[in-house]
Amino acid sequence: MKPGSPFGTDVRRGALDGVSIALGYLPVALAYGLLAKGVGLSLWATMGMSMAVYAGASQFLALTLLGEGAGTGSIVLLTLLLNARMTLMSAAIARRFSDRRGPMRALAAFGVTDETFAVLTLKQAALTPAYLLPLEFVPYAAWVGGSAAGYVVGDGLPASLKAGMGVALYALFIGLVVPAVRASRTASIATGLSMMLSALISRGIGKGSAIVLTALLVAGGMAAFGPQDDRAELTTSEEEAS
Amino acid sequence: MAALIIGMALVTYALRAIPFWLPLAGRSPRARRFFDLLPFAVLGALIVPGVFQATEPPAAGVAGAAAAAGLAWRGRPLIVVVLGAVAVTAAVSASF
Repeated sequence: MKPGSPFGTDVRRGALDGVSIALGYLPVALAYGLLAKGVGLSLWATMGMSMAVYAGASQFLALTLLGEGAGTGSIVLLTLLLNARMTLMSAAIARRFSDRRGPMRALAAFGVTDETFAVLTLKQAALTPAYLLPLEFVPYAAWVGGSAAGYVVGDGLPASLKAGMGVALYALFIGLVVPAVRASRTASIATGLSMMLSALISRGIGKGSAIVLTALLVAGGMAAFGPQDDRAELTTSEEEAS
Repeated sequence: MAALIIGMALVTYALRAIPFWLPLAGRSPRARRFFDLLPFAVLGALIVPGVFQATEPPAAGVAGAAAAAGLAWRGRPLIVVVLGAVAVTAAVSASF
């Protein structure tokens, strides 16, 4: 553990950053629970899917396809395609996760999502279990709890609040990217290129593939052809206010 | 249903876990640079086009995103950025 970040501080920061993500998950989880009930899943299956799969987009996809009478094999195959981007994100987290113990790595891998990836790779340079695990499992609790709540009590939020919470995840991404973009020209170029490319690519192909393709083209292209001397400006500063 | 859930869970967990056990990329400067750039390359694609489809009408979501950008630019903590965007989006959405 590095000096200046004792165990308790890391846990507190991780939990707090986790709350920012959890807030964004709640309305999505409520909608998922409600839809699952509509498609005819049991409460057990609704929660079981959230607990075991823990990947929002593919869970919605599964509900939609079940509603259309699709088979298990095709849903699992589409889940593989939609979630292939997780491997890229896990690779980025794994190389910075300091703990070598097997069970710790197995747990850390389970909580990788678009959102935990974004926070983990941009907020803190050294990833200790004390920071990473609360950050990953506070949102997990919100996802599972929200799924059950959506199923049981429905989605009782007023429309305007729901709209507001629907933007929470985008606000999270923007909140992570803006400080880096402000500090680094390379980060601005990468983000800008990715936005433009994604806008073009996502017209043609599905969400998961569009993200993978955009990320590989932008990060791969800039790593291969960009200048090699500005690494220092990209590394994250050790924690602003939190 | 159990088979479906188990199948989806296994596939998704494998995708998440493999890099934790098999380092896919080396430690070369180019590999490091790729992984340094990756968050920005992914986040750009997560924000666009989704943010324009987050609310109906899109203007409420765009207003919330602008609020988030402003708060983040001023160096506010992440939770403030998120709550601020939620409040602005809810307010704009309620006014339609």
